[in-house]
Amino acid sequence: MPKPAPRPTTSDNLLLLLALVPYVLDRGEVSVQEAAEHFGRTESEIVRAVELIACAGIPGENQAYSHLDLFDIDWDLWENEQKITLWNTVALDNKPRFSAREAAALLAGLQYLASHPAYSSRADLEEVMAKLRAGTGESPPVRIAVGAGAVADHVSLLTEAISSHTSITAVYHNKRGESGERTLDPLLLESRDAIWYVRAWCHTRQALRTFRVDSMESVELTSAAQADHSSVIDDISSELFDPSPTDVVVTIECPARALPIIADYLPRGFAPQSSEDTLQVDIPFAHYGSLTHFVGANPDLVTVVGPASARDAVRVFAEQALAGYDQGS
Amino acid sequence: MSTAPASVNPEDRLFHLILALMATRSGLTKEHILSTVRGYREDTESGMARESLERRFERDKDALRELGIPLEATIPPEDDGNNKNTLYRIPKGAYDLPEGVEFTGRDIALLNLAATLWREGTLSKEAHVATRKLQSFGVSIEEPLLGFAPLISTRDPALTKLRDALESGVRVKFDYLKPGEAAATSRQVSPLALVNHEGRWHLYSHETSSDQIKTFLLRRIVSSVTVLPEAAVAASETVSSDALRDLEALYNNQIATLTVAPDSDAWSALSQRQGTLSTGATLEVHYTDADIFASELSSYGNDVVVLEPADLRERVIGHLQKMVGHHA
Repeated sequence: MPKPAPRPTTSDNLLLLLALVPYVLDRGEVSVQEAAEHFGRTESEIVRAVELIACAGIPGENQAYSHLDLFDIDWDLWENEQKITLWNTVALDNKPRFSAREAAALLAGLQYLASHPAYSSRADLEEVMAKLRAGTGESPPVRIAVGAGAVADHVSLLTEAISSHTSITAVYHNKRGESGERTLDPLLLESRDAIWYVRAWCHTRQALRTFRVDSMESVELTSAAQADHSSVIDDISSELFDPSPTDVVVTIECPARALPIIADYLPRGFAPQSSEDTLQVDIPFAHYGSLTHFVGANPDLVTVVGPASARDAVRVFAEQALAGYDQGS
Repeated sequence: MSTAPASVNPEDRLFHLILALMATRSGLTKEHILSTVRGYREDTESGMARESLERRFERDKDALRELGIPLEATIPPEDDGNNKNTLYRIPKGAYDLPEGVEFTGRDIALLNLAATLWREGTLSKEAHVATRKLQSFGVSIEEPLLGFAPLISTRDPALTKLRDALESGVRVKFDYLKPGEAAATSRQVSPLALVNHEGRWHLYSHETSSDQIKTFLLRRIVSSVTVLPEAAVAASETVSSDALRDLEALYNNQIATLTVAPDSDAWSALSQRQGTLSTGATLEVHYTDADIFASELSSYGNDVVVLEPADLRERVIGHLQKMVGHHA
């Protein structure tokens, strides 16, 4: 997802130096522009990194960083054409190995990808996993794993619609209890834990919307090509649901330990003001249908404090459900 | 080298520290590093306090280890206990990617995608460092795989401590609140694996007191996790797949019979779960954890009525009654 690049940290800059050396050795000769693209950095950042490396080395016998103990580049090529070639390297001349932790994170990620219909048929995933294990040197038992779980049938269809830029039709059930057929241009398939969402241009609303995949039924590819949404794709935020001015703000009470569980609902950048065990938080909801769904999913953790109409909505919702068990009040 | 300015920037110093530690065979003492390596030498010569220099060296060592760089510290046997003589080095063989490991542009695209899975939370740092290391390959990376952004949350506060314990092979202690029980109980276990099943993190472990394999849901750990000095029992080669298999077996064996309003959000979601069977308005739906599933079912309100099993039915009724009680 496009996001403004955060300012590089010292670690990022160090990793750039460590990766730039083997990268240039692999390429033989590389322009500043190519390197900038490859590393996702500005050309001036690459220039600074090259100039640092070109003068770097080890203290050596006489502890004076004499020229024999320094990196060397083709200075003519560098000054005349802004191209990098390494003539001499010191100590560092290879790609860095992955630590066991880094490999574990990537392996668990690959295993998860293998469960996705778009990748499950690919033998190359297995190959990459084997290379990664070899790249760590040692191979302790894998201690972190993500279960495949069930993937809704239409995930494959949605993947196809995204890659072929085709519109789809689907019946969508929203939390307000409304159902209806929609024509959508799927742009991005996103999963949060076990829940799949699709970001799509909604033809009815003429706007970008987020849809839960398991609330969609009768998904069908149409023969219509999607309109050009490239400008919209850049606007997709990392939040699934953006707050809207028509939202109702509801105050809830929950124990502090519930915060990670309800994190997806919390206002952006929320940080508790106190270290109390019980917290009150204001959360915006699009409508009471979302609120009752949220409280129902966390009945042990969440209580609505106000407004009174929100408390009433939750109580009525639960009473109506209890009526189905002949236990209505 | 040209006369250095008074202060060398941190990545310059760290880069020179790595080069010096990789070039040495026998290792370098702290004294030697502080007086010769670029960045330290300049500040030593300009009269920076020794304590500040030493603290900086400690921080630099941590910074390198956090990037997965194998920094070794050995105390020569004849100088037992005298850390002035500790020798530091980065063995080149442990730093370099083993020979013969080559990733193609396609491999790297897949690995980058695998790393995005962890873009939030406790594994994001390792995943980020790994993707930077992948940039050292000169192959051109294939177009990123567009249109797909998976994310696994790692927000459970217990996750970081449990990962550390897994890595160092020690036991842990925590308070665990079982649903339906009034108070949490203290548990002592050897952590064996951390697995994410149906979007929730589970600890697969060996419980010391009962000598049994137990699976704990991380969100029910209500205390902080205490790391104990005792060594953990060993894990088998297949430990994480065993853990997932146990949870999947549970899912396959537990089936609820529900009446669900047709054409509702509940129908759509429940009918699409793996293994669901439908007969008229009745759905047979699999689940892993009765309490979690009961919460999901209460969120559908009067669109769902649980027929069987009785235990699940009672839990849903209990949840709904609690909702009424809390909002009366």
